[in-house]
Amino acid sequence: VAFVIAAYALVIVALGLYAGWLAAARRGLRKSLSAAGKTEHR
Amino acid sequence: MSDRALGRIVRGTGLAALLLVPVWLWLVVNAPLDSVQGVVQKILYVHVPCAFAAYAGFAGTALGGALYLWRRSEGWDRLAASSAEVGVLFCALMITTGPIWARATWGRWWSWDVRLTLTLLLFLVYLSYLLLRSFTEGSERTARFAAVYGIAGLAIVPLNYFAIALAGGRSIHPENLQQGSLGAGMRAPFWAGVVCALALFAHLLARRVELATLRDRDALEAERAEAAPWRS
Repeated sequence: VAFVIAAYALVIVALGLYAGWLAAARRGLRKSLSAAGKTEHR
Repeated sequence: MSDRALGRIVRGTGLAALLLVPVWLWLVVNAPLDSVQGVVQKILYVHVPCAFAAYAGFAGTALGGALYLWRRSEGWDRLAASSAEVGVLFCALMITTGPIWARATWGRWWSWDVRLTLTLLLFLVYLSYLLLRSFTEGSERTARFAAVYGIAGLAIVPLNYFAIALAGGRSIHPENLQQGSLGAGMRAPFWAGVVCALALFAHLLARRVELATLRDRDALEAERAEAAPWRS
């Protein structure tokens, strides 16, 4: 049972971490782009 | 593709994955136990779907590469690179969940069996694709070379899929599950796993393409600011 739990946990954690990294990177870029847009507008 | 259409795909595939994953896990928990392997066989309900998602990723890389060579649009290059990254992630999960099953069933983590070796080769080919792109980012020449490399690498996918049949009985890896070795009650968790993995793949791919588009836009903004510093 430990092997089965380890395999499923590995997949769920890895996909979760990747999704989290994508979300964090997207947030950072959105912030940077909106700041650039505001500067240009000014 | 417009931001709005991409956003719709991200939300649609995300919702599909969110609804499908609990159903798949419920089917896995309630699937009958294999009479020979016992509970360890349930690892295959996650291992094989990861393989399908990895194949989809590498097919996406080749398709994006071919369309880039034809249309010379950066959007297709972004799709190819993003698809390779998500494909490599699923391939890494395939070659880590496989040895967990092997340790419990064969008594060892790895064997230089034809299927396993080809899977490792497939992983390394597309990992090299990503490394190559990261070392020489941005040029049109890189995109062209990456497109050709991504298309050529796809030749390993059918070899990998049919490896057991091609080895003619010399492989110790089990035959492809979908080709008849699934017992009663095992098809539902298996196919639900495949659908889930493909939904998760589509969701992560759409989000990765979205990120690549934003990165290119951000780089363009930086270039503009550098060319005309009085504007910032």
